Parts: sequence; C-alpha cells; structure tokens
Amino acid sequence: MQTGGIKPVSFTIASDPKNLTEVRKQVGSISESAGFDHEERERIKLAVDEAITNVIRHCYKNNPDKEIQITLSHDEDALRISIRDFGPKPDLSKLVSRKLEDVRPGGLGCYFIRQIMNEVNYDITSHEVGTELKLVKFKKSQPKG
Amino acid sequence: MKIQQKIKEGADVLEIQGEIDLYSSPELRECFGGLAAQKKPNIVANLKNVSYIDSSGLATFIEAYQKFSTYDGQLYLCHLSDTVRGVFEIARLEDVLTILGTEEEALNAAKAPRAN
Repeated sequence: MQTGGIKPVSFTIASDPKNLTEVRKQVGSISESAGFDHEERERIKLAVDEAITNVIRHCYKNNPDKEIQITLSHDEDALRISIRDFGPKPDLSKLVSRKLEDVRPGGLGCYFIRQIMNEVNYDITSHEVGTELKLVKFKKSQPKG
Repeated sequence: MKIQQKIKEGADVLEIQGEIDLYSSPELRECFGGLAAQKKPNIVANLKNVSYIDSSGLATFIEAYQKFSTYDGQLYLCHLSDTVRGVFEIARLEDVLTILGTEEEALNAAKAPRAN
C-alpha cells in the first residue's frame, strides 16, 4: 500500500447513474492506497458519489449521454479529487443544502460533500466550458480546514 | 440492488440487498409506493445486506416515511451496518425515522398498540 503519493489517474464516464458503482470502486481503491481507514474511505466514496450525482441531476438534467471527467491523486498531504463537467456553469449562490430540520426528500448532496471533505472548490473560471469541482481530504494528522 | 418482499407477523418486510444510490433508488421508491397505495399499516425495511446508501437512498426513505404517515402507516428500519447508519446520522435522520437493531425488534414494535 502506497502512502507517499501517486500520479493523477483520470478517467471519463458517461453521465449514466449506473456508472456510480464503478466510480465508487475507483475512489475506494485510491483512498485505500492513500492510507485512509475503512470509515474514512466510505465517507470519501459518499462525497464523490454525491458530487457526481449532482452533476447528473442538476447540471446534465439526467441526460445519461454526457461526459464527466474524474481525476484522482494523492500526495504526502492529501487525497485530491477533481470532477469536471461540460455543462452549464452553476449559480454558486444556489449550491446550498436544505436545513436538516426541514425533513424532506433531497437537498443533502452539498451538505454531505462539505461535511466529509476538508476543501470544496467549485471552479467556474478556469475552463471556458463547464465546472471543475475540486475536493481535498487531508491525510491523518492534518487539521480539518 | 435486490428487494425481497415478505409478510412476517402481519408486517410487510422488505429485505433489501446491495447499494442504494441514484441508479437503484427508483426501484425501491416504486416498491414503497406500491405499499403506500395499498395503505399497508406496518412496513419493515431490513437493511442487513445493504452495503451502501447515499442521499438519493435517504430521500427514498424520507419520502416513504411521509407517504406512510398520511394514513398513519409506520416504517421501521433495522439491521443497519455502522457505515449505513452513519449516513443516516450525518443527515440526523435517526431522530426522525424509527431505526431498530434487529428485525425481531421491528416486528415487535409493529405489533405494539399505537398510542392515541
């Protein structure tokens, strides 16, 4: 098991929900190589799953034929995940979750992502088309941001 | 994901197996919808073999709970793994939904007299 770091691994999936399982496997695998324990690996998988689900549902309006590019890497400090879509750029002010006490279906994806990951950055300026969501999870002994 | 439906001690028991996410949750939603349409009074969801759930899955349970509540139906969840339970807890649903340890506990709760 490597803990020092690996070169970025990139792959592209179609925006079909059936592909979420494979993405979770990849994320689980790299999280393990980064040295995260079982509980943290499950949480990281959940955060990435939620991010991609948001792209499928909100950016691509459930169109299963669009592309989502995922890049995974880790270094001595952290696991770094990039999720790139090629759809309309979001209004960042609307990327908020419902209040937990407002119990109703939906509206928790962004909340889960921010609860789990140390850094969450929606980059809408680096690319002419689409958005790149950058997620960072610090390795142990690093402070939560 | 697979769902087996059984009747045990007067309750409708769903034995759910696999992962509940954006892809699979519509099937579970449809299953719950069918039970609500029949106004089933007691539904037990056994998650012993559920290895993963995300917010799509949580939404399915919340919607089911709300549908059953319209006619005073009761939804009981049981046998959640630590990982799955942790997801419900992040969303603070453990105080909203009835989550019990075992199917036996859930079936006993379903048989208990309802408070007026």
